[in-house]
Amino acid sequence: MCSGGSENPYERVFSQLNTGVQNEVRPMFDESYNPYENIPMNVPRGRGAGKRPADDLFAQLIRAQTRDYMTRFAPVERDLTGMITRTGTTSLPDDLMRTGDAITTAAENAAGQQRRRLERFGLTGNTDIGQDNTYISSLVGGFNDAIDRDRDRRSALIGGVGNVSSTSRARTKGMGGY
Amino acid sequence: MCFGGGGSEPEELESKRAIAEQAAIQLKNVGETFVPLENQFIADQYRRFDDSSYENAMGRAATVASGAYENRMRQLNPAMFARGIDPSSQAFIDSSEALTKAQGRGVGLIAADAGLTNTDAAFQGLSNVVRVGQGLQADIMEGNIDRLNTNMQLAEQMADRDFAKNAATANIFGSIGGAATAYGMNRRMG
Repeated sequence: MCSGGSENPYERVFSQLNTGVQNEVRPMFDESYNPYENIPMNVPRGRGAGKRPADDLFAQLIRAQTRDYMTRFAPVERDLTGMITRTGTTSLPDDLMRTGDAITTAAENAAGQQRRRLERFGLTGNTDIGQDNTYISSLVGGFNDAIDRDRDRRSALIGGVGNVSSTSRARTKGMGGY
Repeated sequence: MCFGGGGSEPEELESKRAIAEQAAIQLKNVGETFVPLENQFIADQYRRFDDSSYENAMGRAATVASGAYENRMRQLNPAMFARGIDPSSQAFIDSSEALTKAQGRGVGLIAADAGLTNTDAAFQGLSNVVRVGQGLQADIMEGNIDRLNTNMQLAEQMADRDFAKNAATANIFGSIGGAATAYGMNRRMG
């Protein structure tokens, strides 16, 4: 496993998977995993070499590449496509929450600054951000922006993943190749 | 018609064996040299979704945006005093309050934008992992410094616009800009 302790998000995500999935994706979470460490580098010669040893070696290399793809990359593909929803991506709720928090915190800080500024002159002002149109319109604008960008992200992902899937389809029809 | 048969199959060409060995050596090198880097890259993309990644990006953006507004605020009060504007006057309070609200809005939206940009970067990173896996060319990714520079430019533009839009301060800021230019010119000419 990668190092970093219990706070490591990599390990946290991994620990939330069930055992079967953990076994499947374990190498992806292991940064030292090398899918090519055991491939032979020489074509066998002599009696036990087989009829077409070079072809056999090529076949071993292709299988190693396929294993590598299935182990390190296919889980990420599944993970990424699983994040696409009907309207955007699964990150939208968190994005909205972060947007709201950022705008509210900034508005509260600004209101606090203004109150202290006025107090220096012995004045008081209305610093309740709940009734403040600037704050409300910022929230609405921020939320709209988050939703629009999430929608854009969905389109980009579908376009990107779509291109990838057409590449895979082309390969299986013999139109492409590794 | 018969051509005989029963003879042994022709041996593979030595050049084909050499090519197979070359491919094996290259793949082994990829495994030793590039696979660890790819693994780190995959891990880094997943870490982008972590809270700390958002906190860093949004915190930096908020600091930069606050700086852009506070620099202008620091210039505003002395300039208003110098013009003899009473700090307890409603005009002063309204102007100061409007600008502080603009600051709150600017800082909040820029910090929120930094969070959304981090999500974009995380998804782009995972898409790049997929592209690498498919043997496609990965997209060029904008780095953290580039993103911060974009936030900084955005903050400066927003602050400029907010202060220029405020009718009470527009003239004062014109004067400050003129004074600064004059000061710079005097230094150069002196």
